[in-house]
Amino acid sequence: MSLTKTQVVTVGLLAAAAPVAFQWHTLANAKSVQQRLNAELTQLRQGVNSQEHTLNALERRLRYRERFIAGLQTAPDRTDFSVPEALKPYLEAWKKPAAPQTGGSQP
Amino acid sequence: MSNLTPLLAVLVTASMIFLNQNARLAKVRSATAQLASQAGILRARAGELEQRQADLRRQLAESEDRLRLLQQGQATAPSPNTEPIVPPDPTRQGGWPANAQYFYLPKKDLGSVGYRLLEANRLTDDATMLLGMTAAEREAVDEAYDQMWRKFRELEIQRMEPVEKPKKWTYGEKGISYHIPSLENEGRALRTSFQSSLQQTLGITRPQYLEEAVGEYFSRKLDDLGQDSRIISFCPVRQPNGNTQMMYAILNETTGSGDARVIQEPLEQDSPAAYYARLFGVDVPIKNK
Repeated sequence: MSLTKTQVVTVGLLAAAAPVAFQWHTLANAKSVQQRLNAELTQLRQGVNSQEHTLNALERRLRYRERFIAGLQTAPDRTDFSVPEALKPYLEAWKKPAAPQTGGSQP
Repeated sequence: MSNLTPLLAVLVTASMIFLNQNARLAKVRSATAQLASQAGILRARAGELEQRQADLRRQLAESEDRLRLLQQGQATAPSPNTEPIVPPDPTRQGGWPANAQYFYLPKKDLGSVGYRLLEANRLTDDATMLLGMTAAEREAVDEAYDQMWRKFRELEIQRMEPVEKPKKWTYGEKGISYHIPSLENEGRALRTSFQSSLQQTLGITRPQYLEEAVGEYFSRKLDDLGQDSRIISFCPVRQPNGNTQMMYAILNETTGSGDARVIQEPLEQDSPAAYYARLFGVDVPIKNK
């Protein structure tokens, strides 16, 4: 019994299709896993970014409070530890634009 | 024989397709393994941050208690005599008056005063003192900076895409590279919003001095708020002694200029290299706080 050319090609195609199809399927699965991981990575990064933001805010609050406590311990009658009372008028002047130099003018 | 020719052609073609797919599969699997490792490092980082947050909340609660006790104690204690603060003498502007705690420095000279503006994304004590900020102003400026920083990083995370290592970097292994497109417009908008927050908080004059220093900081630490598109890479480099060290490289795609260096010592916490290593999920030595 001899096979025609078409039959031979068909048999060949059928024989080759199975491994190629299997490989195709595996590749598609691997790509899907990769996509999922990429999406997960983006989510993780956004989560870490947000956590760092919260952490920064907490660290700031703690630092301000520690400074406040330290100030309270060294100068209990003061409530503002950044600028001494005597310098407040000068600070107000500081906030205004610099005036042309006309000697030592009071703020 | 004549029947075998088409059969051979079919089998050769199928084999070629199979081999091609096999090569692609190997690449995808290798990339997936790398992504899984990055995800593992990022999960660990998220866990560390959670732990740190819990620690900070505990410390805050403790400091709250201390503050309450201190305030209660002070309500009953007599106020101690404090040495009066003598205001500086304006007639001695720029001088160094003996026996005085303060002296004048003209505002115009502030530009040449060297000080660290920010550290770990917060204003330094030096900057706060120099610009005469109150505690509330400092907190507002820190918050505004933090908001801007977070939004900028958020944009980077949204836009970054994995790419091959640039050809410019001829040394080092494949490693991990990400392309971040230009964020010029978004960066400008963020900067404008930051400047506006500064003006609302500090008025007109002080933000001018602050912005000058901030500009330099943005350039050094935030790549000018992503003005140009960049490719950032971390690649293992084998050293002559056989050890492998990580290389950090950044390529500015607009100008074509780049900078690469091998990480030989632990990185500073707030350095760009440390930030991107954490973001990409690359294991590099980073100094502890």
